[in-house]
Amino acid sequence: MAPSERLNITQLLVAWNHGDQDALAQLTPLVYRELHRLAHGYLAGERRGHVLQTTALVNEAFARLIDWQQVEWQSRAHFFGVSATLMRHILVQFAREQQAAKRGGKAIQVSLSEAVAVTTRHNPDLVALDDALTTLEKLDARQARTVELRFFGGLSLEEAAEVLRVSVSTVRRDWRIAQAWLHQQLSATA
Amino acid sequence: MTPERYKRIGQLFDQALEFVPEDRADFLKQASGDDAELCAEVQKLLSNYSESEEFLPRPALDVAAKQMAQNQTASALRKQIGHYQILSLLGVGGMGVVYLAEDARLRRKVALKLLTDNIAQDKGRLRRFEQEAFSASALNHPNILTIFEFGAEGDTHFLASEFVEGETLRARLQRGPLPLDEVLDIGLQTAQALAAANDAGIVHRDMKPENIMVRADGLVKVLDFGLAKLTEISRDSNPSDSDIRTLQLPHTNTHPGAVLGTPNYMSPEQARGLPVDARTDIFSLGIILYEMSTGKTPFVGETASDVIAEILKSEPAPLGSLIAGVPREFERIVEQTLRKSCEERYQEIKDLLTDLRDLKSDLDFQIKLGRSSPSGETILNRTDPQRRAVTNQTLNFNKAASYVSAAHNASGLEKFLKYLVGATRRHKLAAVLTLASLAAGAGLVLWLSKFGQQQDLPLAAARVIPFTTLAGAADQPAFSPDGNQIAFAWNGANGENLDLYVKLIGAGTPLRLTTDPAEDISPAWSPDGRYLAFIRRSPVENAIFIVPALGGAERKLGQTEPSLSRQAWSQCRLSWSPDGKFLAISDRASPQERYGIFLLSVEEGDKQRLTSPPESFGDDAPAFSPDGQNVVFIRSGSFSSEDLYLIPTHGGELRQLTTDGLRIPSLAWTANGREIVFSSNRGGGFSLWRVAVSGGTPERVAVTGQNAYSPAISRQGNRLAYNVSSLDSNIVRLDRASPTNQAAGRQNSPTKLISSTRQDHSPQFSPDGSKVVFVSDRSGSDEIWVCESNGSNPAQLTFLEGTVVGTPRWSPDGQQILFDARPAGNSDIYVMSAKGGKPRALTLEPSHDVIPSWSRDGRWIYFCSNRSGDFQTWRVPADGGQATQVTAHGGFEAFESPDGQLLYYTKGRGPGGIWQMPVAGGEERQVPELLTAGYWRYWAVQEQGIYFVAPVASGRPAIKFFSFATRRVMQLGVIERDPLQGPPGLTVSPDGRSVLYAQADQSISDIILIENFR
Repeated sequence: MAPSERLNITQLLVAWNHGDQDALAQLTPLVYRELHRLAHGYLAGERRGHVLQTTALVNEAFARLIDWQQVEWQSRAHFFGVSATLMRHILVQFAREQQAAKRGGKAIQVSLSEAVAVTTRHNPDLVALDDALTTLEKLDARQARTVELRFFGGLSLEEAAEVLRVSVSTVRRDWRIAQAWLHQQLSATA
Repeated sequence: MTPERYKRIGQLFDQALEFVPEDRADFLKQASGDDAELCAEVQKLLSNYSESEEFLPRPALDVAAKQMAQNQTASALRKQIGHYQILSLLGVGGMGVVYLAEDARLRRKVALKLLTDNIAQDKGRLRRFEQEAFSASALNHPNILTIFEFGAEGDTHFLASEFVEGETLRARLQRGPLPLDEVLDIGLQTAQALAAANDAGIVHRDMKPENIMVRADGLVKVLDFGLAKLTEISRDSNPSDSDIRTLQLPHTNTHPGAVLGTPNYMSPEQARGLPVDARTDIFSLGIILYEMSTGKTPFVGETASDVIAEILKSEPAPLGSLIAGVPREFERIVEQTLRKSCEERYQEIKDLLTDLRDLKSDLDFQIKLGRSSPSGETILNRTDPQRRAVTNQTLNFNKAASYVSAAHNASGLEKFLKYLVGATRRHKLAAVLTLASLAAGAGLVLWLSKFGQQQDLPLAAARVIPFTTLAGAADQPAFSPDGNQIAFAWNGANGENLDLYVKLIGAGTPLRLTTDPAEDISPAWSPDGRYLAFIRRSPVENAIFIVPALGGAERKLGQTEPSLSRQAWSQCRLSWSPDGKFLAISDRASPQERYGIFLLSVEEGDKQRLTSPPESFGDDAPAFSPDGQNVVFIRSGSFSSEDLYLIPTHGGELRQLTTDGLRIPSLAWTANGREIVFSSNRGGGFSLWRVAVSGGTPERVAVTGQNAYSPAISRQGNRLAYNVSSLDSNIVRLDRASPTNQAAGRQNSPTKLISSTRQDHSPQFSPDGSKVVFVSDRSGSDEIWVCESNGSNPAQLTFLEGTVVGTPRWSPDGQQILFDARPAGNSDIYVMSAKGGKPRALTLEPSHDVIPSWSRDGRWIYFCSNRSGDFQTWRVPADGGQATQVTAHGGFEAFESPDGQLLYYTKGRGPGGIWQMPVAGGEERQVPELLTAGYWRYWAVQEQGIYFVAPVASGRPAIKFFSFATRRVMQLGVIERDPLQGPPGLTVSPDGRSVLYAQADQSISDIILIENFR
């Protein structure tokens, strides 16, 4: 990616944060591009023993989407936060589109056994998760925000703590209970 | 529920987790008093929580990507589009997905590109795409990929083209530069394609190795003619940045001013955005000729604009300066294609074609005359791998022949067989096959028959035969019941997709049984030889399938928990019971359980559990005994400690067969059911061993050499097949570019510093920079070696012979060397004099103690240990004493900062990145500038900053430097080959000028057959 384009993403993020909906339309394809890249990696199949690289690829995808080096130090936490919200927005929208496509009969229905094989633990339904997260916001806003930062923003415990201005152990506790609660909600509806 | 109520539930949840699971219920009953509902709520929440397995272990981006991959596969497969039946996935690109499909009317295979929705919805782009497809379909030439049809079925737009089975030139180049005759051959055919297109008034505009396919028979097909403007993606390329750039430019067009294509292959006029004609294709072809013969493109830079600047300004290094013996005429031709001004270049592709053709016939003529000019030698290295290998082997053959003639005693034969196996490891097996047959002709057979009458000659009449010599990895051989065929898994010439193949012993080409994009592995024959059962592995599940051994419709029998996919594929196995009724598999009933061995009924599809391993163990690789009464399997504990166990099929006591606690990747029963042959690193490297089922000490299997895996024994007992996988890794040195060059984005070329045909890795500069310590298995097993800083005078320091050894580190005074080794089941830390001598153990706990490093003052030794459960960083006084735990939330590889105040460390699992904490104790935090550091253990803390290698998704991993002074990260260069995973890879000279790292230069994975095995 050219440096100019990186700067562009950062600017778009700023614009979106200030309510520019057009910026969202421009950011979405960039996230989709990373999705394609990762999906391609999965389809190509992992090569013998290259387990670490999957994590590396996801990290790289985040790194490419937002160039932290370009963002000034003071506003880093702020940007972590904005980008997590953005990712939630785009990825849930993506999941909705995928579901709509399935209902529209464009794709053949997967057989029952195939559907069963995909347990919620291994591939949570992003749309259902988004709904549950909205409910959680009303019960404990900080826990919901922690999930947004960790799961959608891809932030580490330490980074989430920086954004939320709380200790790492608080984030760890919030993350723990929020996951248990979400798991419960999603298995109840499934 | 109210927030207050939720908060109360949360408090109790946190408190309950402080208790061990058994005590939680009691605590809750007490704490919730008479509020039974509260108690139930917390309990429900606790049941949805698992310490070991997070509910959301991967970020949403990854979840969505998996969903996308899954949907694409699930929705398209077995789907009919128009009159095309989709068969399997070929590749994914920015524009859409490419499938292998069959034209139902004409019964021929086609490549079917389905456009993604966002492109199909853009009417303007769609129309242009259609126009281009139309003009390209007018081209009819054997060297141009034929476009059959552009059409739509409902909302789905597709492009059907000829399906070419071969590899792209890009894939071919990844294995290194090409011999000159192959360069000319591919260059000529490509020029013919361009000339034909030119006649039709079409310019390609995007010539690059990705767009050139080479079929197995050598026929070249140029792809994406006239589609260049839309920048397509071919079968095996990753989406490169250029594809993506085009994808997001909303108004990609061919107007002057628009910059298109990959910059590396652009002509100067194209880079300037000027109108282009056929001379642009000539320039691009010139770059491809240059790259084919030297292995690199003439104009390089870190960013696209740097590359463009080079294309516009610099002159490429002359070919003669890069490769020896290149004919002057070839150099002239390439030079004339690469002139900056299109007026000075070849004006017509036909002129270039003529010159290439003349040169080729000249060189062919020279060969006929038998002249041995330098260029003639290059020509002799034909494309045929067998012949090339033979040429390279001439000297070695003489050596082999001397063994043959010396074969008047048993040791002579043994030497020869050893030599064959050694040669097998070192070279392509075709060469060995030739050697073996030559040797047989030279009287070996006669000699063998003479001695064959004698008893007690274990090696007598055993023959080593290379069964596969395919590019890519072939593994998991399985004999048909009659012992005449072998089924195996192969990932294709490009190493892309694992599928099952069957080949007759002694003749024939492999028959491909499966084509699914998921990994098809672990073939197991039905007792009647009519079917093969196998595992189909995808990111979301492991499914068990059955397919007729002659090919045909697959049937799914069931699925297993998908987490097995964390293992290397070559270790996933299943077994078919001799009565044909059951498959033995590794599975678990729920994600909370441990993996055990299950029997899956072939008829009913139901599973019954056979083994339940204890906490933190897992069972895999089951194998039925020949009489079906027992199953032997591998039980693995933490840190790759594995042993063989036996369990009777119809109830009975579990029995442990080995007590090594080392690695066992695979196993097989002997035909008489008395022994188990297994692959293990109990002798250092991996080799085949045999142990009696009744008990006893394992013995090495004669004839088979090192790097041996996946044994299989025919039911008749006379044949043994196994996999030989080897990796040649070498240590490379990169000198930092001068500040001026660095500012201009130029890097020095890396040079090989320490190399052998085996694995050299883990380099460490001595504190004064004069020496390098490293690990090498050149002596037959991993040992620690020392050499001068220029790579000269390598000397072996340890003689542990058969122990896993790693991570050597100099003491700050340069007098001692620290390392980890695993003489028994667990690893410990050792220290020895840098001049040699006996190593002394620093740790003796039963835990795994690995990856040591010194404190800056030399008084402490840090290491990673699982003695408290998880892997954490610990430290112990250098002169012995009590070890103390340093990190609290995971620690893997640790180094002190230069001032000794901070500890930098990686965590080994979870996200990448480097953490820091005060040596004196305190909170840890992640270093924000080093989020992408720490991969593959490629990092080093030096006086001025931290050097590290970071993965780059769309290119080679980069070597970077993080300065303590400026807290900025800058790139120093790229790693040309794959980084070697596992051992530490990086060291920096004390003056900061040179970086050493290990890279994987070549890997081989083939199946060997032993005839007359006993």
